[in-house]
Amino acid sequence: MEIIEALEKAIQSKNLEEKVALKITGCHGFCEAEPNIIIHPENIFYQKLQPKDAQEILTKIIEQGEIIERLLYIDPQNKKTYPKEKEIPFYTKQKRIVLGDNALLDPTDITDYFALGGYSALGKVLSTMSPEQVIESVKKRDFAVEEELVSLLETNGNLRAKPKGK
Amino acid sequence: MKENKRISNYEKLKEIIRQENLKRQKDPRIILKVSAGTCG
Repeated sequence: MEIIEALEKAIQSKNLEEKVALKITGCHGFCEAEPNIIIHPENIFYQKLQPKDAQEILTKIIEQGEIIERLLYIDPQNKKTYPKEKEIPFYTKQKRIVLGDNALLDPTDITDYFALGGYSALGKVLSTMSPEQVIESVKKRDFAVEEELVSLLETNGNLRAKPKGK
Repeated sequence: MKENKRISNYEKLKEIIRQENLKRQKDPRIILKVSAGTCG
């Protein structure tokens, strides 16, 4: 995508490699606002980006700590502007489950998945549970990962919330 | 023996998860997460 190339070039031209990382993630679930970007840790959401926006994004938010108003999402219903992804009504009215981590990780980087607790439930099932216990767990809808992992993941606001069911 | 190995592998997995999570928490960089525009 052109916006990715433009951001890569802008980071290089400004020598910001040590301050800024670009991560290409899966779909953010908001096709209407594509291409879009979420800036962590502030959770700033910019939508409908064009390559020409790349330099400005880096200059304003990285170097000056300013938000670019024209790139923010404006809700068509209430006409309010939402700087943060988490506050946009489109997201607050839904709970993404199966594809809920898409926006957080690079699907080609398995370590990103580990950082979100990836495979922990599978590991627990294969290593510590009998087939009968697995069946009981499914019956009780007890899909929660290890408590210690949940607690660890919750300490980082960018990561997913504690799963329900335990 | 086999049981011990299974548990040991699980402990290794938990340690990898912990380390990768910690690495990201300590990363001082600003992260720009761009949607690749793919639905998967």
